[in-house]
Amino acid sequence: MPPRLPALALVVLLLAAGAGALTRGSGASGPGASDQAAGGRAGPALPPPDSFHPDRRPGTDGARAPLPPRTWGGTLTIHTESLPRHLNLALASNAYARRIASHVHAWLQRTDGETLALVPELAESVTVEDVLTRRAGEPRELVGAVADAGDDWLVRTAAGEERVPKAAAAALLRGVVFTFRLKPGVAWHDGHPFDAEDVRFSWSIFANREVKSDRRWQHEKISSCEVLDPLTVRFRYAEQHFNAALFVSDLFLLPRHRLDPSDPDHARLFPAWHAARRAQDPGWTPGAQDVAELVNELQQRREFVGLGPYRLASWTDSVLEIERAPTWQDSTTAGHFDRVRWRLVADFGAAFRALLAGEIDFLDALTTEDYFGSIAASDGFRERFYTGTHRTQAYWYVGWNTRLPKLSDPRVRRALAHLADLEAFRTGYYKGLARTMTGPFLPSSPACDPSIRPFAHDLARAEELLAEAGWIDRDGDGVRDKGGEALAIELLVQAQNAPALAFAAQLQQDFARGGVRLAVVALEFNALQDRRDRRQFEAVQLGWAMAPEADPEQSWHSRWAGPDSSGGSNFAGLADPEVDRLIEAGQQELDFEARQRVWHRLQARLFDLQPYLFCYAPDRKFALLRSVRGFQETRVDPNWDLRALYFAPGTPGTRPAPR
Amino acid sequence: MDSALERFLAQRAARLGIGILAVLATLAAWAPFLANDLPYTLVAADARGLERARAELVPLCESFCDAMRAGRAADAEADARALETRLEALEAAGGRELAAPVRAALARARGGDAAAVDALVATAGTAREALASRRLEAPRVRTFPLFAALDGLDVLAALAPLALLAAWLARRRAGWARALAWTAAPALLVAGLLGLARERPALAPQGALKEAALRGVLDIERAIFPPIPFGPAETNLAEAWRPPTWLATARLDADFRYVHGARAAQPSAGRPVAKPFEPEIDAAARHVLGTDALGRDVAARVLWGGRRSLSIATTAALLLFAIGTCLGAAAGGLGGLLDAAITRAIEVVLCFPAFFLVLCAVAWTDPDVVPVQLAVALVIAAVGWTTTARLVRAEALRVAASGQVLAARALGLHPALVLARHVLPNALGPGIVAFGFAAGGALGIESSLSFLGLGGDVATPTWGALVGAARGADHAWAWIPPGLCVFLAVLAWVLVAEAARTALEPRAGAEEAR
Amino acid sequence: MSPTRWILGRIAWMFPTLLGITLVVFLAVHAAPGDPAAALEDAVDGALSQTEAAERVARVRAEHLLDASLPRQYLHFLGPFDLSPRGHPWFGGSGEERWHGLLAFDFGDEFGRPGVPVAREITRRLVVTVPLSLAALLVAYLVAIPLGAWSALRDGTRRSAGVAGLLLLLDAMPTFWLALLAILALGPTGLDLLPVFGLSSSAKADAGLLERALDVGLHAVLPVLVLAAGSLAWLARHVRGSLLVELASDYARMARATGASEREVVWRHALPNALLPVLTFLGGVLPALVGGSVVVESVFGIEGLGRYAYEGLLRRDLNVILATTTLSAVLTLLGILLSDVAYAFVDPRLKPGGRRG
Repeated sequence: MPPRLPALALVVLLLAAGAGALTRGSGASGPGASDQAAGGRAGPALPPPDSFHPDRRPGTDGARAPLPPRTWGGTLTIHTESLPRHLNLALASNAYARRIASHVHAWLQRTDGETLALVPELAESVTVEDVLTRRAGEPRELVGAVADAGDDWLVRTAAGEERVPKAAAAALLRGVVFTFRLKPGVAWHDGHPFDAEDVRFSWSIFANREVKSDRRWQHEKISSCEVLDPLTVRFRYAEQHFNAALFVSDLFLLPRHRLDPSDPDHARLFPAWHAARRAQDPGWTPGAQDVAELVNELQQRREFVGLGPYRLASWTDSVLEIERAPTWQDSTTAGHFDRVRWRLVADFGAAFRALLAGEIDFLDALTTEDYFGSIAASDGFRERFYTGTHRTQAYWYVGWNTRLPKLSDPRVRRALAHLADLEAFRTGYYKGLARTMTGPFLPSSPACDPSIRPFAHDLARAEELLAEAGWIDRDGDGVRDKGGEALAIELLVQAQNAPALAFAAQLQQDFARGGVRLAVVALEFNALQDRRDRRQFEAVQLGWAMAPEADPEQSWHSRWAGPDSSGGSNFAGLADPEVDRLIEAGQQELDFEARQRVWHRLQARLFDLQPYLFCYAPDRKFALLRSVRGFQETRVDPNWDLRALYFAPGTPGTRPAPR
Repeated sequence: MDSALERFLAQRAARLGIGILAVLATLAAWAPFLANDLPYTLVAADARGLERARAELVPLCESFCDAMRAGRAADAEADARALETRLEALEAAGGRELAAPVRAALARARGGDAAAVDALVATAGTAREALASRRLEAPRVRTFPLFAALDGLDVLAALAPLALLAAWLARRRAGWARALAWTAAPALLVAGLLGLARERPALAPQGALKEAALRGVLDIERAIFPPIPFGPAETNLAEAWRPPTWLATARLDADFRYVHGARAAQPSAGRPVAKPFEPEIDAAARHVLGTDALGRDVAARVLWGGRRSLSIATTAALLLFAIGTCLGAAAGGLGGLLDAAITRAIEVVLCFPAFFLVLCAVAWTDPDVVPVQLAVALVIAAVGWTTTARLVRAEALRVAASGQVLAARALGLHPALVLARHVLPNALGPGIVAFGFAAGGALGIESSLSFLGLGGDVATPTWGALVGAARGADHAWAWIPPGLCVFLAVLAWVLVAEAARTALEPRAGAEEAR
Repeated sequence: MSPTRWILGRIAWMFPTLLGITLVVFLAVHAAPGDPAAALEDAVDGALSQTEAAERVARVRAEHLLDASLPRQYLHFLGPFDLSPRGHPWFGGSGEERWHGLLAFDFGDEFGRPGVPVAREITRRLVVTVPLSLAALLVAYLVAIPLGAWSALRDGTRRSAGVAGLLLLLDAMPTFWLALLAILALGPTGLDLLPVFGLSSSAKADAGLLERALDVGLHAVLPVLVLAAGSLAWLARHVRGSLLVELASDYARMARATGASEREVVWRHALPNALLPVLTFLGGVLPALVGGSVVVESVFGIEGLGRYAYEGLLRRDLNVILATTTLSAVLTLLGILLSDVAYAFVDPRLKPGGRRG
């Protein structure tokens, strides 16, 4: 798995007609999810590997069959609803590209799918240091581990220990210097050795304005990068931020010898290119413009020279295939299949047909209808495939415009939460395959406090709260009013999104029982987004896809609660000093456990304030060939681990040991 | 004209078409009386008012006091009136002595007595506490909930079929009966169209009355419910996607899991509960056509869905007919530059990619500005009038060359007058035929749009939207009936149009031959 | 006026009409609410932060000239010069991409998927839609004309009445419902006779040519039949109706009176005349290539042009909408022209110039 996308916060709006987790569902009270005691530092434990496979389901004595021995080899074909145009994540991020790139490429560190901790991949070791700036004296800045020693700061630098009186310290930034010691002997897929210059080059392209990149904001926070020796590189941040380590680890590595004409190897590898340049202009010397041209050109190419355990084998309009790369050294992390193929089938119905026709081994996007349909229940299907569900990184909600007088009172919003019968919709519509949200963090995220319970469906309590807030049906028309204004809310829903429309219809009925009128307006997605961004809405139904530990600032800090969308997405208009304080405290807190405690407090506060009616994180439903074993759910996109999968012994083309 | 009408009615196709349309339209117009979550009449002790009084007495008093102190007289008055209705509920339930002190305090406070204002909340608090320990019985009264929920246009729409029937019966009578029937019928028809085309989102909580009865808050002595005791938006998630209940596949076991078919493998959606006056959970007549994704009764939705489907299509066809006939007659009858301009316009409009224009308009209409159903009707009319205009123009050209019109011209009548008096009535025939085809076509376009999910409202969809939302081979019961309705309605319009053409043709043929 | 001049006149008229249509569509698209550039890449398209999204929107806006004035945007769309910053040097561009627009058959890239030219995508889908529609058309004509003629000649018999009734039912059948019924009856949940999704199974992608052709053919059966059903019924009823009128007409009676055999009456006189209006219908078929198949394509999961246009519309992809509507308008105009030409040459009575009088 790659380091999970850093994204300052939130992330993509779940777009679009039909797509997204909304339709396919996700969450986590599905067959495999468990609420067992917290495992590790990152929240509830994940289900044991392969818990969906019929052979591994607990028998009458409650025992599971043991996993069959692992094998290596074979080809797996995975369905994808979209193929990326290129795999160069330095220029543009794309979930599909990332899913594939995570196997053909490697990062300095990656996020562990189970613990969410950063574990070294290409780095041998990582040192994180603080920076203490003195008011006077040389050197002005001390870099090292800073410890609190009473009246002094004790700084352990490379040169030795130094004590700085606290009064003499101008600023202390913690965790802003990262020194990576690279593994020796790592090579690019073309055989060229990988070294610290490659890392520095990968960072330097973001300073080059000619390079077109969506990711510049993320790496511009890194103020310097120096190569200490061929295998050691040091990054320095200008500010302290809890996601600093994630951001720097997410640096997408580029082969300098192929992209930097000033690298002598480039001239050796591409003499024709250099000759052409010289022919055009005899006085030509390599410059930033040439680097930008070469890097930008990667977007047009269906080729990839990476560092990962697999390399690109073939790439057509509908199929992308990868194969084992001989350059990868560590066979324990290399994955079991010799070849993996992603087959593009854009339509989910067609993908299901393709699965039935044997063209796809693994379909990770069954519709609820197909999942529970008559075909999936047939014996013929059960003989060939097993099905299951796993959580995703997305949830959806109904956001209130809290700037409006009628929705500004948290009691009203709480009453609305009591009116909505979320449990009935979860069991009736999602058939239980969704988890009810209890705040802005996904249930699988360590930031989510599992002890927070959803609001009970309680008509009496809702009526009490509304009456308390002064909303009473005075004129007897069945709708509560106050000061002559009726408690009527207009909900904007995405047209074409069947689950959203169904939920809106149910919510309309639920609210009507409490004397709240909900008018549902179905809008085409762009029109809906436009209304939201201009803050001209009362309630809007949308979804967020999120990183496991996303920065809550842009969605919830009052700084972004302004009347337009410039920069922030706090369109609910929530402005709560306590929330602001907690967000800032969390951002500054570098200790994982302590930060999660802050997020838990933030979640409790936000859930109590109800700026959104938090709805569901639906499960994704999958069908997988019965002979493929080792399905393991994870906490990072795509929420399962390709490298843990293998063919059961006896499958043609497999062998009992890695080669 | 009369002979043409008789020739028209003499055909079996015409009678069949009119019959189908009449049945579908009547079912649509009478949907509230056929499928509704409210009873026609209800004799019951309704404790909901009492419950409300208990919960809202104190907050209302507080709100009233705040308004009085802040000098917001109108708000205070609204609060006071609301308080009075709550007190009346108490009094009616035998809590006169509980209500009396509050009433008295309220009267003093309304008089502007500041001390009484301050004391009012405390008085109400005492009354509420007393209420908690007293058992009050709401009085038994007779109400007509279904009729009370209707509004004027609903009633007019429901009367329109009756008026048409009366007009039909009175067609041979002379004098006032016929005159009255023939004026009332079109008026009611238009009112009915308006009434049916409105967006009627289910703002009232459907099924709440039955739920109250289930909770015991509403003690029903007698109630008469419509044959289908479900509202079109009444959801019941525990019964989602239930097959027609007379089928074996709809049977549930004790754990509320399906016994037969593919659905037996699914987890139970919950514990369905039959509310009072609904058929039992396992009764064959519970959901005759099954339920949809939210457990709404398909039969009720098909009945209500016809209201918008039929009226939108008819409105579009009427608009199209009006535009096409006027422009066509003007072009053919007046000729000259106007004719050239209109002919050119027809050609340009014909070149417009019609379906896309409709798609664009519907996808991008802001429902707050123009209701989606009106947008659909308008765009269908805007791109569809050309056929009518062409036919009418051709006919008008022919009529304009006829002796009658030439004579009128020779007499020096104003061209516009000639157009209105002589050309238009004679050229109307092809227009009427085109109207029939257009109405069928408009229904087809509207249904296709709704099928693609561009129909607008969530709670009261059209037939096309019902098919679109429920498509899927695993629950065919939910989309076959609405599709059948579209089919029948289009068929009926085609039959009517064909019959009209046949009725008009002999004359046309004869003149052509001459 | 000779027919040739008349046709040339018609062709000349097409251009201002087309211009007007593109202008209307262009203005309609721009008047719609919402920022077309705000459409993000894909549904599950990874984690985009606000900053990233804003940068992407700004880039899309710049690339597609959305910040330029409306006339400039319209001229950019019309072509043939590229007016973007990277466009033709005459208009202040850098000269990297000189040609663009309708006249250059280059509608730019899709908004959501930069690097995917709309023109290429349209071509890709035309390859699917055109054969499908032509097959449907062929089926419709091949069945409708004999069927209609047969039922007119046997008018009055029970069988003819039955056929007429069936045609009427088919004519009134909503396409989407017919398609769903066909899938229900013949798909995997019913008799399981025919594939009901897509146009080919990719398992057969590596098979021999014959096998692949057979596979595509099987996949196409239902979509083609459903597509053909509506026009088939309409056409057959039309043929039947006009043949009946012709057979009863004066000149047919005259021909009979002069001793022509019934066969001669039908083949020489009645049928050619009866088929004239059917020819006009041919003109209406071309635009249906784009518009008529939206429903069928979306039910059968076919990646055709209609669905492309419809999805572009939902995504508010300006370039896709403009390209598909323009294409559809051009096809409509061509269709009208085609039927006019056919009329002019086939109908000896019609002197095109005379229609004005």
